[in-house]
Amino acid sequence: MTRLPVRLVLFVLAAAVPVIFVLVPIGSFLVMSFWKMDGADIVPAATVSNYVEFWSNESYRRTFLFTLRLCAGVTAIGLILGYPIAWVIWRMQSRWRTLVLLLTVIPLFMSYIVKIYTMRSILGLNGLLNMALVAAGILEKPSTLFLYNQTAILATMAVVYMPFVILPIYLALDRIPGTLVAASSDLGARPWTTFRRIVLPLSAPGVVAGALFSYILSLGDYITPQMVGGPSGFTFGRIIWSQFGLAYNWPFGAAMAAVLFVVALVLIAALGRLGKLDGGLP
Amino acid sequence: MMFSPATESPEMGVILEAVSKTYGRVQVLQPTGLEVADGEFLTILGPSGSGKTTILRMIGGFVQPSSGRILFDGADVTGLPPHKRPFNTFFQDYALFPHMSVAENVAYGLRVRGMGRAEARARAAETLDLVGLSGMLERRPAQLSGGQRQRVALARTIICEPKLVLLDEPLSALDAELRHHMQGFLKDLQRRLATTFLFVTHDQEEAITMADRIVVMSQGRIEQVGPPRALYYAPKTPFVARFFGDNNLVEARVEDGQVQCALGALPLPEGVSATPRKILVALRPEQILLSGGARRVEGHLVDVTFAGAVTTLTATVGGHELLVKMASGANPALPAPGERITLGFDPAAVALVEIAP
Repeated sequence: MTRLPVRLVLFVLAAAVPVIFVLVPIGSFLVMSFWKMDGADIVPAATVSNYVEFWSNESYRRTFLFTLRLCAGVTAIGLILGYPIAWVIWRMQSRWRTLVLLLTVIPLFMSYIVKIYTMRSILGLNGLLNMALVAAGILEKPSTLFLYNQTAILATMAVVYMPFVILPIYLALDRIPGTLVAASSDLGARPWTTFRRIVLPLSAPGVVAGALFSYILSLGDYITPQMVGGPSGFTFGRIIWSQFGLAYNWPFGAAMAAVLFVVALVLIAALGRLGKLDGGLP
Repeated sequence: MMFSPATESPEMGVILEAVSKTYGRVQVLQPTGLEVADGEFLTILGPSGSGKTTILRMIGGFVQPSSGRILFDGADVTGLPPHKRPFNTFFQDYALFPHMSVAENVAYGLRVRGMGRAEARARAAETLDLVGLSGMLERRPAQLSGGQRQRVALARTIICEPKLVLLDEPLSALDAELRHHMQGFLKDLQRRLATTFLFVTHDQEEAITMADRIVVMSQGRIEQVGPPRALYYAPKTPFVARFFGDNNLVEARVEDGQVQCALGALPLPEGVSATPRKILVALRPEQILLSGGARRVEGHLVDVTFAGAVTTLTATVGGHELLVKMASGANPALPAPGERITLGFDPAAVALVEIAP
């Protein structure tokens, strides 16, 4: 009996994990997206009809583009609010920094559903926002305007995905050696110039990572739109979900999931280039 | 204190007035006064934790003194942020901006002051020529060797023609040969630029070879300030006497207007208090002679060590061990170890070192 080459066995074992848990599921839905429905049965085939149907149906296409815009909005809000928060944490004295950073990322450990219910109770008819506005005399009576619309989805998603933006930006800032900031100031740069020319470019990888997290996570989110969006909150994620549930058209759902997957890949490839702006900070 | 060269007007240059620094309960710098004269090469020398880097950072504006004032050309700059001070720092880790090319790094100080790109670039190229690094304008710092990076950092530090260049242990990362080369280079650069260099190091040899004046620090305070020769031959404190190379320190007493020690009775120099007390006398090994010398003392030879150019003798005189260094000769006529030996010295070469009460 020949001895098994140990290295080969180890390699196969190590490679098996990503293959089984990542590549196989992705591959299977990619394959299924070319199958078709025959009555109530899923039949293997090699047709692009699912993709054609998606693109020729105006309501699907509109929802798709709406979702892309919505997620861009979520990401933009996340960056505009998240970057200053990360920056403030970074500039804090070290004894406060850990505490505040922990407070910022604690939502990551909380159940996703809890966070959405929290947002619902803030935005709802008897919620915190209405109570505050009524108490401040801005509103005469509680408004239903804050919940069950697209703005509510935008706000809730922005809150839910904010920690995913703050954390990578903070980590990127934290990697910048203090002497670079000192050197910029020493050479005559005002604080804003130092930020613009040194800190911002060197934190670009964190910005890119945060933006990708926020965009891709919100792109696939089908629960938030349902819970705070009401009837007007129909996003692409909900359509896909319904194909696997109510509509029971798995091949069509798989095709739309494949479209989402391609969008994510294109984004990662495009933004990944921007992330190299730091010039190889060690 | 010692004489300070080139201080025509006391208002010029940097003056520290009783600056101190305390972190929590730890006082890293006791109230310290120091004048940095315009155009001099001043070295702050001391072991780690002596407070030398704290002084440098205070002048650069990165650390606020807990008390005291910092004056520059007569104006109080104590509260000014670094970008408003006409000083530039050479950072120990070079602190090159990794996302910028060599040209962009060097031109940075000019660009943030509003100079146009083309002009700043031309000046950057000139300055890089000055520090001996040409033709690498488009490289990134990561593509350079350690020595090249150091030259880029140097060019970036001097391009804005600072009134004062602050150097924080700039040579500690280099190997011995490159370090020696850079010592001469920096000294030469300082002369060519005719600007003030404030150089922090823990290496006494580096300090002696480069500085016009040396500030010796220990435990958060200044031990002694003076030109290298003065510190070497006329140390004022036991710390300074022991800090620069080998030295013979002999316990002595001031009595009856004389200094009594194992080397005999030495005259008390003019201006030195005759109050009876314990002191130390310091005599460099190379100032003890085998032949000649105004004073001769008897002793026993213990050991002879040949180390190439220099031969070191160990002898005992009156129970004290003395080191003697002399230029090695081809056939030195030395007594054998254990035999008697007569040593000579000039009483004027003996330094009196007061022991702190």
